[in-house]
Amino acid sequence: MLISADIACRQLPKEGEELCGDAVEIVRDRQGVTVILSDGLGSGVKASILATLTVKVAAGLLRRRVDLHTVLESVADTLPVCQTRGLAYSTLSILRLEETGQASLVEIGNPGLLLFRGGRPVPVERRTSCIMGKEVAEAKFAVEPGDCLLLVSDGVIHAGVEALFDLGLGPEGLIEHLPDPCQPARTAIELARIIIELAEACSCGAPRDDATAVAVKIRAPSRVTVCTGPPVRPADDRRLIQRLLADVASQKVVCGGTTGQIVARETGHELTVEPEYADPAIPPTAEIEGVALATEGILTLNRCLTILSRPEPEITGADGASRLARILLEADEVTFLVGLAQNPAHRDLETLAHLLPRDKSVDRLQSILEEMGKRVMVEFF
Amino acid sequence: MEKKLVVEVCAGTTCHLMGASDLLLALKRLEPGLRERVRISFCACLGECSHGPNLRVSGNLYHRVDPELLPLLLTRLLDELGDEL
Repeated sequence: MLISADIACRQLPKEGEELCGDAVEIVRDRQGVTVILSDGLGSGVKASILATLTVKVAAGLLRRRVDLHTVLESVADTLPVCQTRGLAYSTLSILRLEETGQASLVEIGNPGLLLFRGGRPVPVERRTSCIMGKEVAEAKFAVEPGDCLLLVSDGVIHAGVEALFDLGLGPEGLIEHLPDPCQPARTAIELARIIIELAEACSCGAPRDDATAVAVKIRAPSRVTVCTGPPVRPADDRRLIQRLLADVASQKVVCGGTTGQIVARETGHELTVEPEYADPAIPPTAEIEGVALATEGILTLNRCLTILSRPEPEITGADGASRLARILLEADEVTFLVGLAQNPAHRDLETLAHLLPRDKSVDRLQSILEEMGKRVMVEFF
Repeated sequence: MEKKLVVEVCAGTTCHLMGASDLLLALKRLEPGLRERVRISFCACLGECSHGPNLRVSGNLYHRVDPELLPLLLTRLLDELGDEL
């Protein structure tokens, strides 16, 4: 069974520091996702540099499928040596999740990953070895939808030392105080926040170390089918709609007024256009039973492209383009069904208003979404 | 209850770019006596993209509608259609 992962990270810097000395890197690709956590020696800027270098170097090398031994060597060679301690050191945890559900884990100096299944912690069997004088724990295991994995830095495990606890919160304390992490309604963001708030509370609001929590929730991949544009031959209308409806589990989006009318006609449902503008620059959305979102075509696709082209898209709007962008961002697999019929009235408008035609917009969207690690398929009609 | 004139604004791409939002604004700003006699909604593309912005009023199409002339058009239609509404 294929899986997907929702991942969230929250951090808390040591009291008096602006920067957190832990770093996290999440790298998504078409086969899965890699999460890298590092805790730099000390705190503040120095620790932040060490940890950031560690995760960036490791991520870059792992992306090029470099073996672990070389990764560790390169990290050790790259890190600057601390003048005070004469050491170049940061911890490292690398969690790799394949879309097939296979997980591999490497831990050097970080608290052990916690795996929860059915609301309970499940032991992860590790094999230890020594690479470049460091003890390395490795594990291979399978994950399934509903599982939750937690990676934390020692700031969480030791939270409360010299405050509420003599020996800190500890992994047992963390498990005991955590609400069921496998509950479907409990998001990764919420879990990471709960852990960091717990660490902060244990240290009575004065954390003595940087703390980081990464929560990973495993779920079945979510799919979206976007149908846009009428087919070149009207005789293919039915085939297009059959293709749109074929995948029952996929969320359905329709982009285009005429396309919406074809969907409504072929499914026998009514198309109702919303009576208000959420944003006057974007035509209103419509409702068709069984369709998650029905929008206008060209303008909406172009605006959606602009939104998703931003380095870290923050989507707040309720207009069709923002809603489409949000659906695409949350999807793991996207199928575009593109009708190539030309509306002659659009040709001049596209030139005048500097708009990309439908097929070009979809082409750009495909590149952007693939860069985000999503699987994208495009079919033409 | 008095029947209303059904006014639908085309929400297609071309009509939007040709000023459908201005038509909607003009409809919402009709003087109260006229406003209460019309029901406003959007409709999917009317397929008359070369002649936008388009309106459909009680089933009839109107092309290249000028928002400033909209009150005049609706008053005339209400007079003409009075009994047929």
